[in-house]
Amino acid sequence: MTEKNSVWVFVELVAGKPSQLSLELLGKGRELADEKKKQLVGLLLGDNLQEVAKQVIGYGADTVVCCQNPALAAFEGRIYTKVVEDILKKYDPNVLLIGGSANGRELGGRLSAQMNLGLVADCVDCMYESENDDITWVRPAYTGKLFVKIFTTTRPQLATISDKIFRGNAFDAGRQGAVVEEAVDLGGMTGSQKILGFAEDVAAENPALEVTLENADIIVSAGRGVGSKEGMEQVRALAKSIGAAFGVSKPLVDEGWAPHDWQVGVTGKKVAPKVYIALGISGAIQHQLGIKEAKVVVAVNTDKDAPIFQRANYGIVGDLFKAIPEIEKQFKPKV
Amino acid sequence: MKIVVLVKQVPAVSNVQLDPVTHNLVRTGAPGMLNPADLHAVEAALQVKEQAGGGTVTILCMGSPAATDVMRECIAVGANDGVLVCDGGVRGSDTLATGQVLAKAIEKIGQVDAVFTGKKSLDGDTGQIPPAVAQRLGMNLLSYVESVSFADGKIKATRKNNGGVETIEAPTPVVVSVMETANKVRTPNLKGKMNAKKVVFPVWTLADIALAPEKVGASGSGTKVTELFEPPKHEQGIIISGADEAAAVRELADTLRSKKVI
Repeated sequence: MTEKNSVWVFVELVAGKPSQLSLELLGKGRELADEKKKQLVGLLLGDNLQEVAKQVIGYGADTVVCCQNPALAAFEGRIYTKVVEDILKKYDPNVLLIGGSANGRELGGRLSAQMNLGLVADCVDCMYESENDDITWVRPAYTGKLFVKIFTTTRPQLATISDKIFRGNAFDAGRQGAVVEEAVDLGGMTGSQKILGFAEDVAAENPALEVTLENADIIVSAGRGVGSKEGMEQVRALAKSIGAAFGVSKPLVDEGWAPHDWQVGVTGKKVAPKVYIALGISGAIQHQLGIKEAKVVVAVNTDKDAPIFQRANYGIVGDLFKAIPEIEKQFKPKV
Repeated sequence: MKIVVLVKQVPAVSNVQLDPVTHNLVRTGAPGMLNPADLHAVEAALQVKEQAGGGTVTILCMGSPAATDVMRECIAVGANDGVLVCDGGVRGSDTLATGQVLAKAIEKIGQVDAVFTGKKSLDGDTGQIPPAVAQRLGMNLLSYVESVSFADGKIKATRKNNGGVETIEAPTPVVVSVMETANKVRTPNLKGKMNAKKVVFPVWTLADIALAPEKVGASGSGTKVTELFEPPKHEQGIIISGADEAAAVRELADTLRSKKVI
């Protein structure tokens, strides 16, 4: 069993279970490990990890390293960093994949500073491209116009990964693997951060109540082509009237017209509706990646050269405001 | 309460141009602006200072001499003073190197109770500086906060995390990274505008913050950008051209119905 120089995934727990993003990382990690005939190791921090360790194996890990301590029951950056640093020094992984959640980003940033490691943020792809064990990290750059390839010049190679990019493995209850318990040394640190309360999103709790970007069959999205906040509101009204969810592209959030919650794209929400109607959206790559999973993309834009037409299954070159009344008529659910 | 706010000057155009040969950002001619989230960090810092019954808000910026323009904006809304870290040696720094520079400068400012930052910069877009600085200073981090308040030596904040809204609290000293949605920024008053005009910012070099040149710039960075490339082209779709927009939409809807998409 060689955990050294292998592929590691930090498995973040949410309500005692591996997060969806962690499962996606285990899927990608498995692929990387197989390619270089390495072990895939899941790293778990928390309390009472026996059951969840078995799940991590079922989702693709060869080995799970468990750090159990009541002080690790909730995420606290300083303490988690100390524990993960000790583990990384002991096992010397080739790469550690961390999910780009709020906690994952904090852990990544702290590990980078603590151990003087290069760190790449919000990767949308990663691969071994050469004979050696260097990972090529890919992330969008320059507001999503282009991708960059980045190497980390330090070891272990460290990056945070965006969600909904990779697919997790199907759970296999029969998969065999090893669970290793590691002694936890908190170095005298005690927790000082406190979670006082947690309110689940209303929409997440009652999905039937509201059409959201996450569950909608149809999404209507507005881009810079709306010209003004008022223009955006017209598109929003259209979405409401046809029972669709409403989204926006990044420039509208940057303008302050829309909250970040409405943003579709790599740095916003990634969506997978049956039909995605992009009105006045030019289609920067950061937006296109966010609609990768949409079944059918329809775009209306005055600029026939807009990149969105490369992605759209159906395009209309024209004025979105002239198209709105007919879209309302044609897409309104029949009662 | 002694607060430092980290700010950055970023290119003002959201459609940045790239040099086709060097792959660098074309910064010449592109006007600079204050990173949008940073002004909300300043506002949050001012509110916390007021809730604490007084103190100072100091702006800290790593950048070129021109970056003092955006620092002045922060003075105009009520920050007390500022420091510019300016040294040719920092060029090419990634977040590993930049985090060291900022942490060293905060240590030199000394006795800091809280560090406020924007959630991330528009151009770098990583959000890695807040945790990096927190770790180097041994502080807690409240990241991506949507609201902030201060009472009894503790900062209380709310943030979105794990599919819900978390209310979280940490004692000072602490680093807080702030979302644009966290507050409405106050308008500069006359006194603030006067202060912004006459303020003189001390300029610190790497020597001033006792950081060796090899610790920053390309040599102090742990990442290397090797290639820029265009996104893969998607298979070209169909352009529907009708007599007008309405006709095109009708044809589109007919097509989607025939394919049972809608």
